[in-house]
Amino acid sequence: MIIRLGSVYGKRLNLNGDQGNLLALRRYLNAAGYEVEVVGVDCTDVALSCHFLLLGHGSIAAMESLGERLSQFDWAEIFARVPSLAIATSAVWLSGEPVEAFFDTTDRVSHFEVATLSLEASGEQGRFGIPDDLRVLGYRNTPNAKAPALANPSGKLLTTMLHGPLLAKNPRLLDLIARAAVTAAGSPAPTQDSSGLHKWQQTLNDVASRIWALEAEGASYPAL
Amino acid sequence: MRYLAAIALGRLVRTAVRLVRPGGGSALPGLVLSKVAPGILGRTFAGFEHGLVVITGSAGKSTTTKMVVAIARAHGLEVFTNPTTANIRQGFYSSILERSNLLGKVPGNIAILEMDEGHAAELVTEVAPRITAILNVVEDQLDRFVDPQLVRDKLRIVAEHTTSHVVLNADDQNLIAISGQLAASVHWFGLGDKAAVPSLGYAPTYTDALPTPNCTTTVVSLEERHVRIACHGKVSQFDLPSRGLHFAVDAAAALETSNQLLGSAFNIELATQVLAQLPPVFARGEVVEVRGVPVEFILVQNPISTQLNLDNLPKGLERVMFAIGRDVHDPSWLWTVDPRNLPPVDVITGFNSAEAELWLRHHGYTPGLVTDDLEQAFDHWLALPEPTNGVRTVIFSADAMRRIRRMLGFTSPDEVQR
Repeated sequence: MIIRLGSVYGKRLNLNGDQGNLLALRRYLNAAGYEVEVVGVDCTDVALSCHFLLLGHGSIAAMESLGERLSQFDWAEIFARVPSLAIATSAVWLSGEPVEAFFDTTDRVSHFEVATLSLEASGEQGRFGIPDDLRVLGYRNTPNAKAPALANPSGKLLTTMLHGPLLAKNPRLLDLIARAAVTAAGSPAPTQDSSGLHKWQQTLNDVASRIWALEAEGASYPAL
Repeated sequence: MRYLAAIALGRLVRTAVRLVRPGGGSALPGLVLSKVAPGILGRTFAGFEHGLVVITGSAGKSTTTKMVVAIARAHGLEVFTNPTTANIRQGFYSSILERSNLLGKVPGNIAILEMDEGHAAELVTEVAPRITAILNVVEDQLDRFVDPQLVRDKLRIVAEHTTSHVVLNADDQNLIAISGQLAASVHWFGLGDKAAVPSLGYAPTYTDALPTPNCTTTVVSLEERHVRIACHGKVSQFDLPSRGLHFAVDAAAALETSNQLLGSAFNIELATQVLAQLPPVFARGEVVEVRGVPVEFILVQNPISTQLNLDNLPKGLERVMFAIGRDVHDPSWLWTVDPRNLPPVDVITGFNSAEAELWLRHHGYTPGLVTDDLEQAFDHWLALPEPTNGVRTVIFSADAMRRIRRMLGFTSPDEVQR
């Protein structure tokens, strides 16, 4: 079984390197022995054929150009079935809020941040099995510090204001998302006896721990 | 007389800083001067007989400014300019401190300044430039600017405040979009071969393309470093100081700007001669002897400059060090760069070495040494066996560049060899 990772208008929704999340996921699944393909997604049918979907952060111009096309998707159906991650402007667009507000720079936040899943902004179901105390590190560059860094607003949709290669920097979150994609594909879960996966996990943990140590001082979450 | 005490204080601070950190310290004295004599900046910039020339945009400012300054000087103008590391407000104060007499008088009959796009939008409201060259809008410093469209808005302000001539890149849709209804006359430079434009990475506007204006200065061809540029009906050809199509575009921008600046006095043969002899701006293809070993320094500052520099690396490079420093606040943009042309990396260093390592490992690289200790990294890297072509390569961000240069004792930005 091939694990299909979908990139919704990936060329346009990659302002801050968010497509790196797909690279991180692909490398992880490859290391665990899965065959993976990354496909471009431009309609509901293709989205539903995927086992994971990424909607990255897009520029003002990109979001304006895509608004009408994104409106054609059946997002409720997609998020009921496909584990998905939406980042910054994509997450704002999906919430129905005006994307322009995202670019109001009068009260901007631009820093590394450590966060847990916002329970307030999340539904009761799904959550990819993310424990309430799982901390993630990423870079927030938004006008509104109150927008939840990580939330599960509906179904299998995870939203974040932390852009860039979030999954690569957060191996535990990566593992949870990878398992969700594998489950969506109906494949057996990865096992720890895969030496390739174990080695790659060690590498990721080592590098990510150094990034965490480096950014701890500037992050908003105090108890690192 | 009104600035005597402020200049004296600024110089005192500068001397103190240089005692502590040789080769550094342009920021703090400028900051002090900006606090005690904020008015000196506007007064100085407004006082040049031939006015103020601003060169701004996302990428290529340093190279283009250096070219325009050299051409203007060769034509007999006495130019006040800023070093490449001082293109923000406090850097201008530092430059004034550096060049002025104790009364605050700066020599020169024209100012030609490289300006950070964010600071330019503020400064032009205090002093209007006579000429502005805007090079491009790329996806750069998003932790500061958030979005390319917001950068475009800032550059529009600069263009709108320019009194005589605005020189724009005809291949950048962002700049075509801001060119309408400007008070100043608009002049265009660009590529002759439009097929190569996408490789330059200008921020997409995702709208129907506006018609490309006619250029008065055009890059006709580029082979290796040899460029041919048509400028107002005459052809200039010479070897660029650095590799890459973006440097050819910078040269076209410089020729067009110089043409507007000098008017009928502009001599294309003289300008060509100047550009042919110009050394690279530091770390743009600069080769320096370090402890008897030739080392090429390559500066990367944003996604597109990184991509272009990696794409233009010669085949078969060995002994590569990659250094990403504190200036890269959010290294996420590295993940927009395709590093496939980057040879094996022996050493990764700088404040953001772990971030760079994470990115490169996902692309299949296994670096030899990763450390945030620049000195340790440099010593280790220099001790590695000699590369086949004899030249080692350092690819670094601006902060890592400054630290490495200081570590090596290169204290002047002008210490560059061709």
